[in-house]
Amino acid sequence: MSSSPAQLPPFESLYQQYRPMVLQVCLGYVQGDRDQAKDLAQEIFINVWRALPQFRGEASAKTWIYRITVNTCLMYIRTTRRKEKVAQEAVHHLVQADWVEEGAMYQPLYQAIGKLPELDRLIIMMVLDELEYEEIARVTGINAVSLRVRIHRIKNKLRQLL
Amino acid sequence: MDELSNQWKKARTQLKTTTTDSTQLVGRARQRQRSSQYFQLGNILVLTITLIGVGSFFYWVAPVREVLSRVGVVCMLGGLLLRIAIEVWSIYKSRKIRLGTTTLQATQEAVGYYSFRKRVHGPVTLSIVGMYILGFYLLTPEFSLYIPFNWMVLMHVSFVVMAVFLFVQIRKGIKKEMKSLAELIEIQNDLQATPTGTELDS
Repeated sequence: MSSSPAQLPPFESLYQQYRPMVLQVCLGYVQGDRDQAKDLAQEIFINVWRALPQFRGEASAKTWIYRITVNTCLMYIRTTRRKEKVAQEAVHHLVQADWVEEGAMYQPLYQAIGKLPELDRLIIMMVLDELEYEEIARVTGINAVSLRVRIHRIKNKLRQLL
Repeated sequence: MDELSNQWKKARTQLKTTTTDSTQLVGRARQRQRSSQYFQLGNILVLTITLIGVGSFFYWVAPVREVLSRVGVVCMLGGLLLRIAIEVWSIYKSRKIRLGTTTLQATQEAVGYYSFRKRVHGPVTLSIVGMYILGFYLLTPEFSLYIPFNWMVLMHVSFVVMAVFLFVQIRKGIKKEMKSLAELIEIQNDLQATPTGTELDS
């Protein structure tokens, strides 16, 4: 199936609709570190904005945003410039946080997820978000059968960590 | 697991986001894109200015007469030109990484980019550095005819100091990139691995 980029909702609506989802994935990925999560989420939406002209409608908007989220997370910590940027902007975030997490009761969950291997972290967060296995397969490129076995193992690991 | 999933959903509702204007983010994205382009083009610009500077020096300020020296100049300029071409190709390759594709494809593209960088850092960089050093030493016999011995010694010493400094800096950058490559290959293998065992998710 091919379609024009016009089928994707405008950036504004993607941003408002998927920001909590992206932010939560970022929190799990960086073990609940709010400053880093916010920086990472911003990076993801910048990449979404950049990739908008390449969207061909072959996947749903949610799958596509998840793809960019997962790929950006994996590339993020490998870019030295980003590391420097995080350090430089840390103070800025402390005084200008534009989101608030009420209560720290979910911090152990984010921290437990953060202790998993990088790829497993991202997969389990999609499971927790109740994405179908086929959809997770479409995000990651892992075949659905392998994914089922893998998810089973990740769940066991997460239970042990909690 | 259902309990965890519910906890996850509740945690999301606790992430209260303020209505930040997305146009502000688009503005930041545009700014980031511009600075990224300036950064990439900056390297090429510095190398090009060096090429023009060295070229102009040998054309107008100190035109060499001997064949050996001319070969030296060609080696030095040729190495720089090759380096510029590699930088341009490197930018092209890095822009080929698509983040809107599957993790496996994006990782493969990133591995492709870093593998290209690895090849560049290996024989290609060595050849460029070799050409530059060779060029420099091919120039010295003719230079020694016009430059006093003390200045020649100073020139050699500063050349070695500069070479050591550059070597250390380049090595640091290479080590970082090679670490990224190793990690990405690990992720790629992980994505392609077929799990063994008979366990299935309930």
